[in-house]
Order: sequence, then structure tokens, then C-alpha cells
Amino acid sequence: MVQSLSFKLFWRELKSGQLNMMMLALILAITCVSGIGLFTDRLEKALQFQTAEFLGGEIKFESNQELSTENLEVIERLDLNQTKMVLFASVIASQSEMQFSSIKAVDNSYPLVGQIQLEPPFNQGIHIKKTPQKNNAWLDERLLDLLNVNLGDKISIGDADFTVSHVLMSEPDRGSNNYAFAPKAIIFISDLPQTNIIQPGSRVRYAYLFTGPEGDLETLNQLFEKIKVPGDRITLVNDTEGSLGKTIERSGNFFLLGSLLAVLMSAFTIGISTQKFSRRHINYVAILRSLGMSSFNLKILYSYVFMWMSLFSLFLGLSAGWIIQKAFTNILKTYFPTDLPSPGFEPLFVTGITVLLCLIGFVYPHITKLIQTSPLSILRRDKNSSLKSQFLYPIMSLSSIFALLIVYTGQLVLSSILFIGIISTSLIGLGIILLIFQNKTQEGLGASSPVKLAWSELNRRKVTNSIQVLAFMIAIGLSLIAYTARTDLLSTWESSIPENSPNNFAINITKEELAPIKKFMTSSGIEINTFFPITNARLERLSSDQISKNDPLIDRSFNMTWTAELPKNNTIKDGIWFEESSKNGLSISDEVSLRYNLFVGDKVKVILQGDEKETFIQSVRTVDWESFSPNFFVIGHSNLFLNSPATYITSFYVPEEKSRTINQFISEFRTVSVLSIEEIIKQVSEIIDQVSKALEVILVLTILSASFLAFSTLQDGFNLRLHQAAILRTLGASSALLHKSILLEFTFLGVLSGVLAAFLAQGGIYFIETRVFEVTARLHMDLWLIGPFVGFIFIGFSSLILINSITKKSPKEILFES
Amino acid sequence: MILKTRNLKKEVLSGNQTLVILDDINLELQEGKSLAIVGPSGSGKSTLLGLLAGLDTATSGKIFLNGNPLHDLDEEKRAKVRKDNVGFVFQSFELLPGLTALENVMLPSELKLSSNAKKIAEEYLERVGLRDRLEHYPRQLSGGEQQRVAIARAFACEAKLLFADEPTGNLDPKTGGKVSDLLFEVNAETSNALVVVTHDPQLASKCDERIDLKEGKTVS
Repeated sequence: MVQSLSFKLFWRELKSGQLNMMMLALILAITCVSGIGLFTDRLEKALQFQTAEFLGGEIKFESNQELSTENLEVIERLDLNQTKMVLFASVIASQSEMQFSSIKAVDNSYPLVGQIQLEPPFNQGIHIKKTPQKNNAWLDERLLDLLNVNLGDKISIGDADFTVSHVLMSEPDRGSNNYAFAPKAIIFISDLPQTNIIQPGSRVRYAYLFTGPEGDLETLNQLFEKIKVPGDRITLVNDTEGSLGKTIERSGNFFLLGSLLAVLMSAFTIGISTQKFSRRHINYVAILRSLGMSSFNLKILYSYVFMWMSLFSLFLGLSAGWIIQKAFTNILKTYFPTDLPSPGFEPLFVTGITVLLCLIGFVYPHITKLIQTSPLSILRRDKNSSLKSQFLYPIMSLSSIFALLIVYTGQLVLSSILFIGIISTSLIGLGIILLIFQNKTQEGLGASSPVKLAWSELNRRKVTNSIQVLAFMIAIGLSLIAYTARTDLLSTWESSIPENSPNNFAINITKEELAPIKKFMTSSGIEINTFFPITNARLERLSSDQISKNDPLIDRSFNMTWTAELPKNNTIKDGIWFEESSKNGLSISDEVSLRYNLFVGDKVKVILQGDEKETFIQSVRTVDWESFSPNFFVIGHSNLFLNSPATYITSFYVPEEKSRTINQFISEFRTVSVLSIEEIIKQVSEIIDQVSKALEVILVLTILSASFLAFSTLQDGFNLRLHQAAILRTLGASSALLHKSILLEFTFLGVLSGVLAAFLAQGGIYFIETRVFEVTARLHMDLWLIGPFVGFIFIGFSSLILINSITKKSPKEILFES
Repeated sequence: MILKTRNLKKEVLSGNQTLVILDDINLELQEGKSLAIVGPSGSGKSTLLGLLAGLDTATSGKIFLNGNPLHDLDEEKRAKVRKDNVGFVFQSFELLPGLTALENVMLPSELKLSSNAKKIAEEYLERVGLRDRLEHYPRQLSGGEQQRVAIARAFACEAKLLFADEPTGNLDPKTGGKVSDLLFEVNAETSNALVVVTHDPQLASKCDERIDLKEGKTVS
């Protein structure tokens, strides 16, 4: 019986439109959470796949030695897929040319992740999963040009001859090659012995790539950590991040932030709407109770009503969410080589939790209070709320806000900071309002003029006004956070790819070629950037007594450069840049500093072709790795590298109309390698463009939920004024007086809310910039103008609409029929 | 003549049906006189009061309040007529909960931009016996006291015509009797005209004139 009564009650409320605002807020929250959640889940999975593709697997182990049979046996016992590659550099000879190249010998399992792109294509497809046939070699286009060979021609590597069978366009494990800049060839691993190139002492890297279940990969990682010796390198899929990954990660963070803000505002709207709902239902409950319905049955009745509402909202919200994620996925689909993976169940779980927390925190306390209504209320409207029920709402709603923060950020500390931030801003806001309106400045209502009436109302309603101001502040403040975060992201992205940023790198330049290259570029009208010398050197801690147990071994060599000027996109984090007077020292990136526990003042030695030089860490730099210019982990003082053998690297921008110049350059400077990043820049720009569109959608959703919150707060405030306005009009107050005074009152509240919102937004943005986006925090002056302006316009304009709804009703209708 | 109606009719739409609430009401009231509107529930008493006071508009017919043709005026102009000519006492008191007794009574004078609103309010509150309740809020007053504040507010309008809608309806008989006595006493002192809607035959009998309503029509 209760069940059918509850459905009737729900249906009646729905038809009368009384549930509109509450349901809209809930549907919007569900849409945001499910739509964004499902989308980011798919995006993350796709990104992980793409990163795995870049690495060639989920774990890579590189060594100068092959893995021992013993270790291979241990690995065999794990449930893993694996492939082995042998990487080395050697001269490849054609009939007319010889070229130093990077060679990769692969086995049958290659490629482990992703596909190879070859020309001419196999069958109809471009992407394939295949290895070269015996005695065949795949050469990249540049190598084909440099060796002056065509498909079907013979080349020799060491003592073995190979037929060039395909042009290698791209392979998945681009990040695997140590000689990435050298022209490339791929051969089959069993052809390797007949080349006679690999001899004891040869400089060869063995790379092993693995994919498989997480647990087995972890075991494998532990094994590698155990057997690792200097020179070995373990790379995990999560270590790899590129410019694109960072872009998508940050936008993913923004999506989550947007949905969190939308959920918080929807939760407040639901709270306000439920309060109104329970006010309307006091008589209904009193009648049901006087007719003998037990508290328990009433609880069941209203639980069902809200369950129907939740199910209805879930159906509509999830449908809308699905459409949104589908639309977002379509936008970005073209940028991923394969179909985006299907979403998991986690977003749906988060949606369910969100609905539950909203109901527990913002609906349950009001309903509990409603159910406590005494049957006597029919006869006499008395306030029967107990102390417990008065405190229940703030306690429950604050707890659920905190829980929502934890669900969305996944971090206790960050959630606590945000939570305390919201609470303290609210308390400050409350304090300011109570301070401004602490005294009754006049006797009477001040109905003689709009200004006096507005001022009197502001003073009299300071408690309800302060709650309204807090709601407006949250609505405006959180929208400002979403707006600023989006603007921040866009400007970070724009600045990461400035116009005319270098789209080509030239490497392997000898000292003698510097002047001719400069001359070539100048005559071609291409501006060339700094030439950085590069040399490969090892870095070691100076003495063993300095090394603590926790200090990791420096297990790699670095491409080091030396320059008198701090390169662009680098900032000194600690220590000082080389001064003219100094004659020594190294500047390391903060990644190197963190990874190897190296800090300013630490003594180290640089080993360059067997020659050891003592030096120290002079500074730690923050490097913008996303910038498209040469970046270095280690930069040394030029004195350290006097007479060191070096090649040079530079970057330059070639406009599209001058793209032929590159071909001339390559044929003129045949030993210089030119690496074009035009395609990468284009791809990143396009993705940023598309992601920006998705950001707009999220921003609109956030602002929409803010509008719901602000409007339902206003509506609630106006309901309280409806009765008073009717009495004043009965006594002869003109509509103009009411219009003006209410407009004045609410625009004042709007501006005040806007100022507090700017305060909230500035604080929120500081944490988002520093903790979420990891960029430098700055003061956003525009917030202090936009906040009050939005408050003035939005609250003022909305109040005008509501005033009309008050003054349109005849006072008789309100007083005689209430 | 302070109040006069001619062929007053009020219809409302209920779904697709038109309901006639009042039909062909003609009445006249001289200055200083009192009129009781009596009738069973649903006979249209409160609707008639709303029309006479200019709180609502008639479907057809004419109403003249102190010479002002309410049937020709828009809400703004009717509000001005109310401010200058009318005072009200409601069954449910209709005091503003956020204002003290004194402030509630000051309201009409404030709207008239009177400079001595407080003095006028104090005088009337003293007249209704609430001198010691000036700073009390409605929730701190009993039902009878609240209605006395409402009466003080109505007289503070210093209007020519006072409307009272079931002024004793929410009070027990003893308190109701005291309140109605007070209403007529003060009315006599101020020589206002008074229109009272009531079920109470005793209260109706105190009035100079009386009209009985049944199903929206006057019965003789």
C-alpha cells in the first residue's frame, strides 16, 4: 500500500512541477558525473594504450647484456607476453653509398603492442602486425634516400646482404631506440649472427618488452630491480609522458573538476528544493499521522518517493551522460589509432555513490525533520524541530560534501584543504554579512522609500540573507573556478605551442658545418636558433663516503651540453646560473635531482671518454619539457668540456611554403639528420582544439548547475517575501516601491556574493594551479571584476523576474487563499 | 456615500467551467456607518470583501470607494486608493513576523510618508491596551493580543473605511467578544465606516446594516 501511495505521491508532485528544480539538479549531476566519468575512463585507457605503444610494452628492460637463462626461466613462469630486440648502430652499405644507421633486430613476437606502418601496404591495410622476412630489411624513407636505393635493391649490414622490401613509415615502440635520431632499419633477429657485427665488447643494447596482468608485471619489475646493474634501465608505462599525454591528463583533471563542481552545486540545489518540499508536506504528514500512519511507514513512504525520483533521474541522467561521452569520444576518435576502449564500470559506480551521497547529505535530514511533524500541526503550526534535527542538516550535508571531495579527488589531504577552504570562506562570508548588518539602524520597516525599505530588509533578514549570499557565493565562485581553470588550461596550451615555434630539429652537426649551415639558412630566409653542443658523458657521485644507502645509483649516461646562457623554457629552481667568474659546475634538471638525490653543492664527477673531471651541482633547473625546443637534463660549465668531441643540435621553423628547402638542406648536408616534428605539432594543436570544445561543454554544464542553485535560492527567498509583499500591497504600497526595494536588496546581495565568490575562486584556483594542473599560481585580477559583475547582473536580473511574479498576483489571492 | 456597488459580478474559471461567485450585488454605505456581510461558507463573503477593498477586480459591475471608481483603476491606482482610504483586519491577523508590534502598527503611516509614524502607532497600541507590548514580536503575543495589534494597525491607517474579515474567527468566544467590542469602540471614536464579514450573529448585530449572501446573491 505504502509503495503505491508513494508512487502516486511522486507522480502527483512530478506532474504539478513541484519536483522540477530538484530533479533537474539531480539529472544534471548524474549527466555530468556519468558522461564525464565514462569519457575520461575511455580516454585514460586509450592514453595508457598509446603510451604503451610508444614504449612498445608495459615494462621495458634494457641492458648491455642479454638476460641470463636463469632469469629468463623465472620470467617464463609468469603469465606474460614478451619480445626481445637487439639495438645497435652500424654502417649500412648500398652499391653507391654508406650510411651510419640505427638497426633494430626483432623477433617473431614483434610488435608486442600496436602495429607497424609500412609502404607499400600489405593487402589493403596500412597497419600490420608482422616482422621482416628472412634476409629482408625495412628502411625508413630517410635511409632509403641517403643510401640511394629503391625497393628490391640490395644492401649489406656487416657480412650479410639484405633486400629492401618495405619503407618503414612508423613503428609502435618509437621510444625504444637509443639512436632515435639516426636513420633506421629493421631486420629479423635470426639474421643477426650472419652479419658478424655483434662481437664481445660491441656496443649493443638488448631490450625486452613485456605485457601482461598487473600482478605478474609487478613481480617482473621487482626481479629487474633486483638484478639491475649500472647501465641497465627499467621503464614502466606510467613513466612515459609526452606533451600530448600531459594535455589530455590536465583536461581530464579539468573534466573531473567540472563534474565535482557541478555535483556540489547540484547537491546544494537539491538541499534547498528538499527544504521547500518538506515545508509543503508538513500538513500532509500531519494529516497522515493523525489518521494513524506510523513514523516507520512515513519513513518508508518518503524513502520510496525519493527512490522513484532517483530512479527517474538516473534513467534520464545516464542517458544524457551516455550521449555526452559518445559526442566527446567522436570528437577525439580520429586522434587515436585504434577504437577507444569500452568504458569500465567505475564511472557508473561513482555516479551511484554521488546520487547516494546527495540523498544522504541533502535530502535525508529534511525528510527526517518532516517525519517528526506532530499531528497537532494541523491544529496549530508549531515548531517541533528538536535540537537534534536542527543540527542534522549541517552535519550530514557537510559530511557528504567531504565524502564527495574524497570520491572525486581520491586524496585525503587535498579534500581536507578544499573542504576547509569552502568552510572558512563561508564563515568569513557569514561573518562579513553579520558584521555589516549587526545593528538595526532604524525603527519600522522603512516602507517610506525603496532605499530605506531595502536597507531595513537587509538588516532584518541578515541570517536568511547570509545563507542566500553563501549559496550565491558558491554558485558564482565555483563557476569562476571552472571558467578560470579552463582559461588557464587554454593559455598554457597556447603558450606551449607559440606561433612559429620550431618544427624541425637538425642534429649530428659537426663544428665545421656550423658556419655553412648558418649561411644556408640565412640565404633561404629561415631563422635558426642556438646551436647546442652535445656530448655523451657519465655522471657519478664523487666519493663513496658521500653516498647514503638511500641514494640511488646514477645508472645512465647523459647527452650533456654547455652554454653561457640559460636556455629558454628553463628556470632556476635552486642555486645560481653560471656566472662569468665561475669556472666549473653543472646545472641539472629537477627530474635528475629528484631521481638521483642530487642537490646544489653535491660533488660529482663527469666521465667523458675515460677522462674524469671533478665538479659540483651548481643549480637545479625546472625545464618545460613540453616546449618544442632542445632540452637537456645536464648542462655543464663550458670549462668542463674544453676540447671535448661534440656534435651540435639546433631547431628552426620552416614555414609550409618553404618545405622544399628541407630537401635541399638534406642533400647539401648529408651527414646532418633532420627530424621534422611538424606532424606532432599539428596533432597536438588539433587535439587541443578539440579538447577545448569539450572544455566549453563542461563549463556550460557547470554554469548551468550554478544557475539552478542561484535561481532556486532566489525562489526560496522570494517565497518568504510573497506574504510580506501581499500585506504591504494591501496597505497600499505601490508595486514600484516593492520593485525598487527588492531590486536594490538583491543587487546588493549579488555584488556582495560576487566579491566573496572572487575570494573563494582565487583561493580555489591557487590550489588547482599548484596541486592539480601543476603550473605556477598567479593572481587573477579579472575575478575581482567578473565576480561582482556577474552577481550584480545575474542576481539582479533574476530578482526582477521573480518580483514580477509576486506583484502580478493579487494580494487577495495570496492572503485570503493561503 | 463612502461605498457603493452596482450590479457587481464575479466569475472564475474552474477547468472548462465558469463558476459565478457573486452575482448582481448592489449595496451602499454611508460614512460612519457599519455593515455586516453574513452568509454560510462558500457564499462569496470574502470575495465580496476583496472586491470592495480593491484587492481584486470584478468581472463586471461598478464599485465606488469614497468616489473612486475601483472598477476603472489598475492595481497601482487601487493601491493608492487603499493607502488613502482603507484599513484592514484579517481573520489570521496577517502581522509581519519580523516586525515588533510597534513596527507593524507603524507600517501604514510609513507608507503615507508620515513623519510621526511612531507616535501614531504608540497611541493606537495604547488605545487597544498594548502599551506594554510595543517591542514584542507577533510570536510572543497571544491570539487576542495579535488581533488587537491588527486592529491598532487598521486604525493607524486613519482611513475612512475599515474592512474586517472574520475578525473574531480565530479567537475563543470570550476573547472574540472583547476584540469585537474594542473594534466597535474605536470605530465609534474615529467615526469610520466599517465593513465586517462574519459568521458570528452577535457581531453582525452590532452593525447598523446587514446583507445576507447565499450562493453569491443577496437574500432579503
